[in-house]
Amino acid sequence: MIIMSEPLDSDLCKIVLRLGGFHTKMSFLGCIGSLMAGSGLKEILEMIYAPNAVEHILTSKAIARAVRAHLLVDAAVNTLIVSKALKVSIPGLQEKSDDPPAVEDEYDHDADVSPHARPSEECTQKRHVPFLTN
Amino acid sequence: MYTKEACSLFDELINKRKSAEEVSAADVLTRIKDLLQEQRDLMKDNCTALLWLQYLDMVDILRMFIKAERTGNWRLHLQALSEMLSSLAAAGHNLYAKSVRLYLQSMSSLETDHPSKLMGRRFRWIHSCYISVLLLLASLWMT
Repeated sequence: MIIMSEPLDSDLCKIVLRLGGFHTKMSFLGCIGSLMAGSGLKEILEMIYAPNAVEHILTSKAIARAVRAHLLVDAAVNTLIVSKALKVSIPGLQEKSDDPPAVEDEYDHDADVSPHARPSEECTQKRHVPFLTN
Repeated sequence: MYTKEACSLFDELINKRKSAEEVSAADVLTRIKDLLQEQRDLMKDNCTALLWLQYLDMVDILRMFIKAERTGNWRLHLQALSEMLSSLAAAGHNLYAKSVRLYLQSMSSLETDHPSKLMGRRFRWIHSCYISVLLLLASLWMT
């Protein structure tokens, strides 16, 4: 408003206001948290973070944690989809299915899972199965 | 069938028998991608799965935004913001949705209004200035 009300030849007209990246990301993470409320995301995150931290993650007060948490859950859900599409069983996941056992240890070549994300991701997979199958 | 091909491709990449460009242009990967898209389309009848697919899309937007911010890619930044609009509005963050919309509108006319500000790596330069000012402020704060 100040810039717009200035005369055209003033120095202020050269300034361009930008929306900060950090706060945009913060509000977007808050969006994800509020859209996924009650979907079980909170319970999944409680497996890798303390309950109080999860509150902060979903309201996007803890940015670094929130980004990591969302990437982990994203990797886990993607792994489930890949394993279903390619009919590859996931090692470490006890699933009662009638499918013939497929070749193991191959899912990580196809899924876009970063190697260091795997230990905690496997904990989340167990909780994920009902969400995608029911 | 796909897994074996993908595995051999992966091994070739790791043993440096093939370059990253060759591997990413491989036919198997596009077939796997199509298969995954098919699987996603199949799941679309299911409400719970649809919610999680939507979640995956949102995380993709987040990833795109982070990439744009870190590489100083102005076009990708604007694209990520415009894709964020719908979820911002859906979550009831009306003020954010309004601001982002106004911001996009003024930024799309940036090329005509301020041609000197937008010259490719210019954004990165502005960005690095911004970061150095932040660092300065932080160091002042700490002392």
